[in-house]
Amino acid sequence: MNLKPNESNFKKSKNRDGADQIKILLVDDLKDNLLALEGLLRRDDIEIFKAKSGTEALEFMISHEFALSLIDVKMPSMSGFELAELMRGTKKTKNIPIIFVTATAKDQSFLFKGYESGAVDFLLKPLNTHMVKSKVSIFIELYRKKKEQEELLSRFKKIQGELEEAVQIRDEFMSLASHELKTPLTSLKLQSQLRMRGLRKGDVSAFSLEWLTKMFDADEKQIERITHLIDDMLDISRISSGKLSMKLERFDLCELVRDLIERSRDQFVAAGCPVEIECCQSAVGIWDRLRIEQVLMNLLTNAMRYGPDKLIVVQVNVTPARAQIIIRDQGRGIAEGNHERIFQKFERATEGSEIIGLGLGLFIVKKILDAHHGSIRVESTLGQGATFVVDLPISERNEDLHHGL
Amino acid sequence: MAFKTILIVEDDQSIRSGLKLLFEGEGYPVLVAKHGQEALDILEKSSSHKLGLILLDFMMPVMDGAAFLLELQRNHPKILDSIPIFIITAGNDAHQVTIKTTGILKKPFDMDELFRIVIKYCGG
Repeated sequence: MNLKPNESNFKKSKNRDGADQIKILLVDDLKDNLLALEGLLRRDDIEIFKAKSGTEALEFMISHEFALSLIDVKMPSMSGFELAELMRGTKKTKNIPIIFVTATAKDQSFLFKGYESGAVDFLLKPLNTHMVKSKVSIFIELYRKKKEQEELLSRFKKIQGELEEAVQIRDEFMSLASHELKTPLTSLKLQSQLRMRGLRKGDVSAFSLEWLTKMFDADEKQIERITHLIDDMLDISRISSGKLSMKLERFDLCELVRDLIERSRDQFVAAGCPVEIECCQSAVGIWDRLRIEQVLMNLLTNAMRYGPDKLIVVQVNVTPARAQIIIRDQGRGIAEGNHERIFQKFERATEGSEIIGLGLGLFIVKKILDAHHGSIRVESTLGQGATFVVDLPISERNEDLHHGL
Repeated sequence: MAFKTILIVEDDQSIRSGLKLLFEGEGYPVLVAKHGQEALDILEKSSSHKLGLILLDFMMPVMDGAAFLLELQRNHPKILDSIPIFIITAGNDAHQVTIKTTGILKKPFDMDELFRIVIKYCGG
């Protein structure tokens, strides 16, 4: 069953070059006149419609957009002027320019009140070939210009909308980022104030070695927090401007995983998280080592943050075409409704008071993996831990990834 | 003369404990709450006449600063009337509050200003 009209033929015609043809309507009660005009105006970029009466002309105008109509003034039942009056009545037809074809010069004094396009012209019979062609060309050119302007305007409006949205996102981001940056700054300022006051009072006994160590550890944490925030902000800005550069090299993912976990041993111990590694022999491919490390560290930090004192399992699997990293924690888990959301900007799965940061971590992770033509997904039920599955293609050639972002 | 108590409502642990240490070091009694709900619980339990000042963070989980103020207006108008409340915030969001507070303190704090306020309302 195919009830669809053949729209492409009916509504929009294309010439041999594939460009849209401009439509012109000829209205004359005499077939010979129509054919003669048609012969005169035939051009590759013009599609000509012929109507033998005002009624037929109106029917064409309802279903087509015409750049110009050439209307014979003297027609039985509906004259050219009467047709023009009717065309004034509807939005679709009132802006179609008209060239009246007439035998008497006095017709030219006919007044067209309210014919909004103002584009009314006359051609006197017997028709002068050159005159007809040049008048029609002018109207076609006008129509083209008008179309171009409309096109430009709609593109401009679209870009304007995108820009406004970008500015709004940037403002939100700036406000969030400055808030997040001021929090550790406030803490550092308080700590330094505390020390200053202690010193002023000459209370040196308060500055025990143990206390000092603790304080500097706390400072270190706040400074690290600020550094991370700034790194995240820079990454976000690179991602949004499409400048997340990739330094590709050949390396073994298994080695990277083992190495990274070894280097981060202190953090796992502090979080009370034992780590189990289940690696295949090797998974060699071409990726950006630092970026992949950033992805892994982000996922591992999340695993520690949301599942302290619980086991974390890291698995690396490989097939000839793909490598897969699985990070499984036993933390609080993520409700199914949030599985997509957590990879978006400024989102996090929970609203815990101890959770800090901009909520950009997984967004950045996803963008980095996108740039590698890889993917990430989460499998989790609330309260039952989360499993993040990272999938990376094993690329043999650097060029494949250069246009990642 | 005994100093009045300061209630700190702040979700960031390091700022909360930093302020607490700072004020306690100067001899002020300090109560702390991690969010608006905890602060309400404290206010409902303790007698408010010893309370001299509330420092209220704005962006907090569970119950934020704005919700806390609304809650006070609805259920504890006396506290809202009698205890000075200063909003402490790192953002520009505090101006959106329609409930009148005593003032706004921007993070990071100007320590002199902070202590001027504490001395004014809690003694010293």
